[in-house]
Amino acid sequence: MNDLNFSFDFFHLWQVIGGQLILIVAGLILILADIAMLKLDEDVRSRRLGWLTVIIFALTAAHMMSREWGLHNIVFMGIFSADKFSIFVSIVMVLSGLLAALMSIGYLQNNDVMKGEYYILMIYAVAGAIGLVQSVDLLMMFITLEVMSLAIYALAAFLKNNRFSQEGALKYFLLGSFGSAFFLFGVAVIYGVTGTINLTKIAQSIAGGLYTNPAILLAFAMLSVGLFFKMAMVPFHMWTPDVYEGSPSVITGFMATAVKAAAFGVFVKLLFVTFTPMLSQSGQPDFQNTINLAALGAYWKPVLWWLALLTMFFGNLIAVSQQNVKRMLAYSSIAHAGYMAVGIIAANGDGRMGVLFYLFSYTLMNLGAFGVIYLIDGKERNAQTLEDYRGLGYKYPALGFLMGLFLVAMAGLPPTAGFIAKFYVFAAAIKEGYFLLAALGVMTSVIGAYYYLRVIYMMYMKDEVRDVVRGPVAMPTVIALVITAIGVIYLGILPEQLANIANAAQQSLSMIF
Amino acid sequence: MDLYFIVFAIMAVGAGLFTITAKDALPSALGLLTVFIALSALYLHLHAPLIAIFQVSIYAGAILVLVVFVIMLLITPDEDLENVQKNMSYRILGAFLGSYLIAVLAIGTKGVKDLLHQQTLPDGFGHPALIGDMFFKQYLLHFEVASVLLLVALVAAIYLAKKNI
Repeated sequence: MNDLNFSFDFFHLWQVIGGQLILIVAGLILILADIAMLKLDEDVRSRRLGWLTVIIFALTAAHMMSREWGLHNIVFMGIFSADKFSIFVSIVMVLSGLLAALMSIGYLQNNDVMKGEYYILMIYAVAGAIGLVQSVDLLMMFITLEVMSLAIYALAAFLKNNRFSQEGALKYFLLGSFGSAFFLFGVAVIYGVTGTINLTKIAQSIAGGLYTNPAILLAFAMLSVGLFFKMAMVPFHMWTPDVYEGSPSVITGFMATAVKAAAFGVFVKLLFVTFTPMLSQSGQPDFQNTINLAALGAYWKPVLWWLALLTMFFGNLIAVSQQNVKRMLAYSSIAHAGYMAVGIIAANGDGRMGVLFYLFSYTLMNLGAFGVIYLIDGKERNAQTLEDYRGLGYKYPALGFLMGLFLVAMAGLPPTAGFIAKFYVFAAAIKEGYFLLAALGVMTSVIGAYYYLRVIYMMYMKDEVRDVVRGPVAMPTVIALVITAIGVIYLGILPEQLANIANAAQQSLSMIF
Repeated sequence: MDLYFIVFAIMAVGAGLFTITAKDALPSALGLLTVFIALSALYLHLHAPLIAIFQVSIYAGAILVLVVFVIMLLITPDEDLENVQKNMSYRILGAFLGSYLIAVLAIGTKGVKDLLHQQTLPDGFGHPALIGDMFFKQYLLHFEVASVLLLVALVAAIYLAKKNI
């Protein structure tokens, strides 16, 4: 327990938010590097910037993992924390950025938009996302949420001459600003009622008697709406299909994984630190009275129960009728948000561990799937419909196999990471007595299996009607696809290691101060 | 009633009247600017320099620029406001907004009761130094991260707005 008065110390700053600092400085360096290489050809410049970005992400991940051990003072100025939970989610997002950057090198060349801004925005998106997950302060959460969102809006619109990209990005921007405004309103109400914006102090303040105040519930609902929006939970999912379909394929994969991970990470942190009695388990005398926060469970649990159910059902049902593969995966990503929410409702250690495991494995399989989609596409919107996938399994055996693997993983069939992830969240829900939710959830995942396997059916059991030629395959994309494929299978067979790390990560939430 | 107050109060009311009676949108916006500046002078007079600064920088600086931008984007020079006023849906929307504003004012009258008593303010209340102090001590990191936000917005806006980059 460090004392709650804040002091500034540069070394401590470096220890706690070194990852963000690396990314912010690297983004500035990349801007200069882009200018310095102005004389070179566009494609050479773009490839070099891409590799630089990959190296930067790798360094960031290495720094965060190495600093994390032996850090005894994990909160900086009451604003950022470097607990194991935040680090775990940050690593998921950096991994997502790294894989997306690898794939982007080929993607930008296929689509003839070789601009350095792409990587710069991507780096800042990850920096914002890490800041969001690391912050234990509502105002900082809002600012970093906006850093992340603004970069993502621009990335969604990156294909400037593509109408769908523009349309999706504008929708995302308008609705996203609306969602952020909800979050900001929630912050304002919380500050008005409790007089503080620090999560642990808010928890103390609410536990001290404010938990009967309806304004607290209102504020919590507003904060949640802002984050549900980013997670794409029904009924805040309306933007998802258009944005995911219109955005550049690699960015869609990045959005569906990094942004989701950030939103889930920060929601779990907010929910369990501030609105549940988790801090009371830390043994600190200051947090003894936070056991009172259990009273709030009567309000948020039923709401989240229904939202999770609706999200799983809507996502899977509407995905069945989609003809465009990217759009189908957009609805599938809504459904996956529902599965992760099941782990949150369980509100026990297993559930949180399941959510973390889910985020990690979903990052691998989803980015892998979008990598294959962009390769088959060649240039954006060349071959995205189900009809285009007919017979591709024999024409391109390697791509067909990879696509099949990632889709099987998303459907949740063994022996892939998707099965284990679903198993963890549902097992946690059953342990807490949510039998009906778990049963309905498994049922929706059967619906999900139908449309995932339909793509595989199209690829292997139908003859092609249209001559689809895949785009050139760049070496970095192959590396990324191999990493994701190995990861998906490895986590499906030997999940214990990652599960143990995730478990340690979720336990650290109670020791946030 | 001192002279300072009277000058700026008359200026604010006069400019306000001009704002709502002007035929063209642009002069009306400039009238609004005058209102903002007169009001900020009045805030200075009330020993609230911080609010005066905000009034100039946020209202006169940011919001009015936005208003002028919208006017220039949406209303062509030949078109005057009377044509716009003939549009029925604008009138209905205007009625809604107007009644909303009246409701806000009505709620605001609740505060009159507080004004009747002598109020004592905390020491140094409304002083710009206080906010500077908070910015560079307690909220230093927020301040710095906000600059990253602006940088991202800058990169994104330049990329999206420029045709040949």
